[in-house]
Amino acid sequence: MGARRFDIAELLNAIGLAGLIAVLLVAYADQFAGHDLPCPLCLLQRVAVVGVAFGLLLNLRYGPQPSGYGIMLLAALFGMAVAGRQILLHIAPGTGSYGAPLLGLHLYTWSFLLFGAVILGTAILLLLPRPTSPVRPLPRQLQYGLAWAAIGLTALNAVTTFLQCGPLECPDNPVNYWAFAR
Amino acid sequence: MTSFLFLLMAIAMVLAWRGNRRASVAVFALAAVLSVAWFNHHLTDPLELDF
Repeated sequence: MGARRFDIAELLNAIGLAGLIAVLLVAYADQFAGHDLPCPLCLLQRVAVVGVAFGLLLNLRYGPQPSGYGIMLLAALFGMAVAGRQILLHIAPGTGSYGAPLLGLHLYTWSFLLFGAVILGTAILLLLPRPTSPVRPLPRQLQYGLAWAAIGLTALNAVTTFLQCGPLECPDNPVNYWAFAR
Repeated sequence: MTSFLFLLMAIAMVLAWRGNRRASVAVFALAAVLSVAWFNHHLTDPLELDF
């Protein structure tokens, strides 16, 4: 008789990757529908999200392993540092903020909370015991769909960031796209 | 420069998914080091904190 249960860690890794794909889509919705151009620190937070997604993708492809979780933790700590820096830039009264708030919090505050949640979730995933009996693999279409969605969004971010910033550096308060401003 | 970081991450993901784990981790490591350097470059604005 074949295995009937999924590996819970593998399933949670897939859910995590789906969540990060949703985060990248929300960031795009804010950029294009909300006309809110991302600042350099905002873009670095997206890079950190992609870094966490890379760790999840490794776990999805090769099975949950400490190295995948280590990459997720490193990327989340980097993202927390960037988001924390941006929060500190605007923490004093009268120093303004960047971008429009979403559900009462600015995106960099959400980002800080997200990376904290990633660190907590990764710690919990590391505590889960490995299955001792055969488990069902996740559906192949689900694995491929999630992986290529993450890869596609990352590549798309490379293109849109180049259109916005050009080959060098984004302005601190971008108001237009570098590629269309000439 | 930030677009280059995304490009490196995308390459790392493609390599990982196609089975080249070691090369993918190497490309990720390069992207991680460059990301930290680029973050350091953007840490130039003074924080307006007053204690």
